[in-house]
Amino acid sequence: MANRFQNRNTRQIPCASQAPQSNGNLGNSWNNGNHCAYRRRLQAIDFALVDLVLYLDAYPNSAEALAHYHELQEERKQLMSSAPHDSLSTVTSRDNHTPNQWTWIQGPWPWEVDANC
Amino acid sequence: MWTYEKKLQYPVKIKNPNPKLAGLIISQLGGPDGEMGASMRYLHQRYASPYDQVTGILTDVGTEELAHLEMIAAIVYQLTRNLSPDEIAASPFAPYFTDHTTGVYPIAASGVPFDMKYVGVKGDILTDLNEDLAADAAITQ
Repeated sequence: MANRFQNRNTRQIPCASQAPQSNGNLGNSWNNGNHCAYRRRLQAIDFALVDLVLYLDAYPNSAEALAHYHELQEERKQLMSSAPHDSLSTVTSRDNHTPNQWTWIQGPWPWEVDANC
Repeated sequence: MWTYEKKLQYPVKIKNPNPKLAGLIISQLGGPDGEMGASMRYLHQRYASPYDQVTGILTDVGTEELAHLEMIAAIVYQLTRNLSPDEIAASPFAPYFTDHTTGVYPIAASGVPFDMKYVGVKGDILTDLNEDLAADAAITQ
């Protein structure tokens, strides 16, 4: 009975406990499979993009905002191209880049502790 | 249409379960001033908007509110994990647990399930934007 209410966040992820580098400079640590650094960088870029999108919706003629938006787009493109190809890097269901694996449905899911670091 | 991105907009990592807190935070999910209402409000008001900037903002903010909905759900999910029956029975979370166990259900802390009556959509953009101002002010109160 005591086990009944446990949530399913017991999946083992190899580096879920790794912290991003303490100096705040992530460098290219996602290249060596550091999922945490990769995901946090992607979340940070996407968060900034959302803010810029909202600003541009109201001020579509702001050259400065557009320039910043395109800079972030470029950074995002570079991040995605150098990302590890596994379940934690599959951001949308259109991004399954592993020919022999359907990584989209592999855990952890975003609301589970293991997916957040 | 909507694309789902399999990541939270901002990370949620709760160290210690806390059913009492979950019972309060649930209002941010399904209460009168919560994310469910916010997303439904903006996403439904945008159809009557005659201005591109406003339609853009309502679409993009409404979509972002869905992302917030997911974050609050993640908070509730993590706050209610690994609970013993005694911990639950002793907390204000017990009535919610009776109906939903540790499922995540959009409801207010008062026990009233999310109600579309919290949302105004009148087909007139000025009226709708005024409703948005009032809804936002309610959050900051």
